[in-house]
Amino acid sequence: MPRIRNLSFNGRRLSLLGGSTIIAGTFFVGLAAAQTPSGAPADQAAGGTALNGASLDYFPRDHLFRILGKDVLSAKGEDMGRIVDVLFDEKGEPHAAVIDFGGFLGVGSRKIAISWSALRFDLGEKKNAIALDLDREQLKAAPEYKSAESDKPIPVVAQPQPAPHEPAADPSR
Amino acid sequence: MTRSLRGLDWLNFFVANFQTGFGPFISVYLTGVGWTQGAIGAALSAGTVAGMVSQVPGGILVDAVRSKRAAAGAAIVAIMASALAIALWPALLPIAVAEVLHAFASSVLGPAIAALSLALVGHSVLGERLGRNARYLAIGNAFAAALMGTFGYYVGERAVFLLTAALGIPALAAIQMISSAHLSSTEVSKTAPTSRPEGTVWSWRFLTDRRLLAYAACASLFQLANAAMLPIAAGMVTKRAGSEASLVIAACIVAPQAVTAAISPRVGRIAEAWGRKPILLLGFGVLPIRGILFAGIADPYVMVLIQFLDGLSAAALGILTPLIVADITRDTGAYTTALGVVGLAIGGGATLSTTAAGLIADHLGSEAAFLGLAAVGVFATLLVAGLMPETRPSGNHSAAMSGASGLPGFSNSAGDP
Repeated sequence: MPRIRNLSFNGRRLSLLGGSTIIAGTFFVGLAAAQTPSGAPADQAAGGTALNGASLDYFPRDHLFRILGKDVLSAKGEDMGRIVDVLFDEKGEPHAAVIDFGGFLGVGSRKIAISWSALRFDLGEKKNAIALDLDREQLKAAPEYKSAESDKPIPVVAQPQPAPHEPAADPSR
Repeated sequence: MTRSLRGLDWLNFFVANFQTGFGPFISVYLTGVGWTQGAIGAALSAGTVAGMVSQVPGGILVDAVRSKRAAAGAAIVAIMASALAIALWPALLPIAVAEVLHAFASSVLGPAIAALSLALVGHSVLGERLGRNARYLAIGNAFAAALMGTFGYYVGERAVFLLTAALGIPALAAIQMISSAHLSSTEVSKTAPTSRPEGTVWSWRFLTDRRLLAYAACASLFQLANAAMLPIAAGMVTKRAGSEASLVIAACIVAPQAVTAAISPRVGRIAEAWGRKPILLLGFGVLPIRGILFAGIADPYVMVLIQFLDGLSAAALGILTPLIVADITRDTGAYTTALGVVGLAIGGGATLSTTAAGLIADHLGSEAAFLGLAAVGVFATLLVAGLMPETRPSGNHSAAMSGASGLPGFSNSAGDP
């Protein structure tokens, strides 16, 4: 999938958490205050020399999370599927999340790209899920996202806007 | 003997779980643990390729080993191990290895159960026995789908694989119920070659049997027409039904199992009494009807009703594949090898089906895909009608010819050694 960029934010340092062989995107959601956490390992100070000048920060576990495989819930709490991919634009900003929608035991599901702006990450207690400003009725007829169709525009579903809004293809494609 | 037959019932029931957990569900699980789509595709492809490649070697192995019980037991242990590896070690290499191990073990387990069935009851009532197998397999499949759906939803997907591994234990216990004293002909013929008729030294000669090649071609075309129907139909349910879509798809999966469970023993008896071909034609003939109905009907609830037809085909093919191959390879000692050859043809048809129908659905729509599958189904049915001879042993063929009025299924037992 050549068009999916590396999951990292431009101009921000990322701390790589976990040792899983399948590296999912690790997103930075902490506030600026989170950059000076207490309880950082003692070798933090030594990082400057060991990394040849590169700096090293540590973040509390609850400030960063992986996004692949995250459950997506509608405002009504319906199960909307899981995030399986993230699409970025040329500025390095996330533009759409690809979710695996519908089905039973993996039969009958399909991938749908939804606008990044339709996602809400402020679920508070429900750290394991992401909220979506769209419901099943709005998504069920949406066209499938296909990573292999390099010659066609990508359909991205967005939440209703005050002004008329059409799910448009990513302009950079 | 009753205990051994009961053991075979339960063995079929519990091994059904081994198919459900490793199918499309594994991609749901791997997505949940944060795998990328590329890695999931790679692991699943490894499993698919291994599933094809291992069919014939699996059959050869089961023919070669003396104890079919041990072969089945080893396959179950291997599948339990791969389920545990998937649950506890979701990294690329372990999952790929587990998928391949599962594929090989499945290619041993299916033929081993067919061989055990033949060894328990002999050729004379094999159809009836395979009908029972199909019934318990179908009940097990429905049970597994319900159990795993519930487990996946409430406990988590990892628990599904732990459950799959755990269900291997009662499957092993079921094998223990099958007494080796009751396993007659096939096992004996392996240990005492002299008891086999002249010229039955194992060879690849069965491969030149026109009937086997014809059946392999028909079964392959059947899967070419059949395998993609449920996934595409389920995709349409996701598109058209609301929040209840998952339940409708679950019903589409369970409905044919209920039909198969209900009719299989009768189908097995009819195959003995009337012959294989009428059932074969029925099972194949339903396929184009299903395709046309799917193409024409949009209501998700009616689609569940259409899926009941699938139970008819599943019962017919599930019983007749091991039965016809047993007819053809009688006294050759190559029963499960031939089953592996047919299994390879079926696997090839199934893989091509989802790919080809998926392409048609993308470019021309689901209706076109269903009609294309129906057309293949028509062709497959015509091929059965024109190419496939009746394989039921000729000892009771005349009886069937004279009495289409429904004969008891045991009339051929006299002709059995």
